[in-house]
This record gives sequence, structure tokens and C-alpha cells, in this order.
Amino acid sequence: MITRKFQRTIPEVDANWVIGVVFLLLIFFIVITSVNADQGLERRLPPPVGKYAPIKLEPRNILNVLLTDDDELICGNQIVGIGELRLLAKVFISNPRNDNKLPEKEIKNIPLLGNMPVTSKHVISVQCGRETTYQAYIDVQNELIGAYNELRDEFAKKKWKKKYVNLTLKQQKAVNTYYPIRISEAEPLQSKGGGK
Amino acid sequence: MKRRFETSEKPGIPRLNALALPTIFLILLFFIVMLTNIRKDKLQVGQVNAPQATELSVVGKRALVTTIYIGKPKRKTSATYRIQLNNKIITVAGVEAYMKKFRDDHSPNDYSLMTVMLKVDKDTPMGIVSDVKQALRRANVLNIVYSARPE
Repeated sequence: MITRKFQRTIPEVDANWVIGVVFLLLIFFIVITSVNADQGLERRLPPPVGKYAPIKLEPRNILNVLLTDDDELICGNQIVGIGELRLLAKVFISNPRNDNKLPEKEIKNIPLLGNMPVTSKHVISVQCGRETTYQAYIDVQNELIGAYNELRDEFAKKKWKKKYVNLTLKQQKAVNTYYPIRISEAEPLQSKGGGK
Repeated sequence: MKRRFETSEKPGIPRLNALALPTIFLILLFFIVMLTNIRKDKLQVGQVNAPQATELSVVGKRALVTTIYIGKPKRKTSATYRIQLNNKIITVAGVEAYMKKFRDDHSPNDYSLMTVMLKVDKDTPMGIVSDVKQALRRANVLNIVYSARPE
């Protein structure tokens, strides 16, 4: 190539079409984007039947939540509204007054917290009929998880004056051991009417 | 315009460097592509209206997510709820077989990462959902997420 001394300007690359294309792509992706990621309630199923021997539970440690085929909610032995479930569950999980009809407490050594009485054996058993609608079931699950979340939040506020989500991972783990989530996903009832 | 080329010692306003613009747009583009999650699966089971809930946690991008859809049939003539796993219509027994194979294809280190996303229509009777859950239990894939949308 011969370079000439008098040539001062470099020929400019015509980039206008690139702008056009990239801009179109940009618009296209903005339009099809769904920024909000999937949201949901995370749960863990019990291990397969027969792998572990079923644990025998004392009646005081179980809270039976039953959804009939007509979406009626029965907690313990009485029909309750969905709004009452959260409070009932909270009292059941925490057993604040050491009631001997509510779950027994066990002294556990939790890092960061020391020896604490934990209702480590409680189980909330959710049962539903085959005709129960999915929305009703999710409502119940939601209220139960809400009960746990509220308890954990209250505890975190009392202990560290922070919300649960703002705690460090270690602190969160300690709170999780203090209020372990124990919801049992029982099999659906076979009977039509809901029954006992 | 002509004068600009003649007076080379005293250039006027420098021309805007247009090459910066596509770069900026490209960066924005990549950013948005990263955020995008395109639904790969085509819904074949009809309508899936997620139920509403408040205590939701965001499910981030995970490697080993299987999605199961259970949808409300569009036409009322064939009023059965059907199950779709990732991309194809499947039976409850098929779910179990698929998940068992899926589990065998992965190393035990990945077992705890396996998650099943249940996208179920809110009017679905629990019977079919329970059947799927029991199938997952038998296949020993235990992490599930009930998909829901905020109220």
C-alpha cells in the first residue's frame, strides 16, 4: 500500500445501518421480555413411601388441616375461615405458653442462640379431597408459610431488631432451626365427602 | 458544507462519532437478553392461570428445572385436565418414568438441585395434582415449586 502524505482524513465507516439494526433488535427484545422471573411457593415432598419407617407422632404434635371437596377448611375439629388459619398455625407452631395440648418443646443448642426450647416435633398435616380446587390448596399453603414467615420475622426483630430477610446467612439458619418448617404433604382423601 | 473542507486549519463542529451509538445499544441489548426468559415450551394443555399467593419466593434460573403444566381445557367438550411435561403431553405414569430416567442420567451431586416447577391452573381439582406429586415422590424428585403470581 502506498501511503500518501497529503491524505489526512480516514474514510469514515458508515455505521448508520448498524444503529438501525441494533435498535430494532433492542425494541424486539424489550417487547418480548418478561422481566419478572418465575415466582412460587417452594416445598419439599416427603421421601418415597417405604424408604423410611413412619414416625409415630403424639396427637398433641399434629395439627390437622383438612380441605374438603367443597373447599371447606377444617382445622383441628372445627370449620374455620382462611383468615383464621394463620393465627391458629402461629399459636400451634410457637406454643407460647407451654400449653400441654400444643406441641412439646425440646431444648436444643442452636449456634448464636444457645439453648432454646424448640417445638421440633410438630407437624402440620395438610389433607385435601380430590375435588378441592388448586387455588384453595395454594391459599392454605400460603397461609401456613405466612405463619412461619411472621414468626421468624418477629423473632428476628426481638433478637436483632432486623427483619428476617436482612439477617446474615448464619443468623437466618439459626432462626430456621428455631422455627423449622414442618408441613406434611399427605396423600389425598379417597372418600368423596371429605370425611374424617 | 463546502467551506468546512476548505478551511482545514480551523475545523468547525467535529462530526458526531456515530460508532458509539451502536455500542451503547448493543450493551443494552445484551443486558435485556440476559434478563429475558423466553418460554421455550409451547402450551398444549389449554389455559394455565396461576393461582394467587402472597408469600412468594423468586425462583431464579436453575439448571435442572423440569416444568409440569396442568391446564384447563379450552373446549368444554373434551373436559379433561391434561398434564404436559416440558414440551409434550404425558400421563401420570409417564411423569414417573421420565423423572426416574432424568434422575438416572445425573450424578448424585445433582439430586438436590433437581426441581420441578408445577404450573397448574387455579381451578384444577387436587386429585390430578396429588397424583403427579405422588409420582414425583416415587421417582424421588422431591423439590417442587408451586408456581403462583403475586396478588
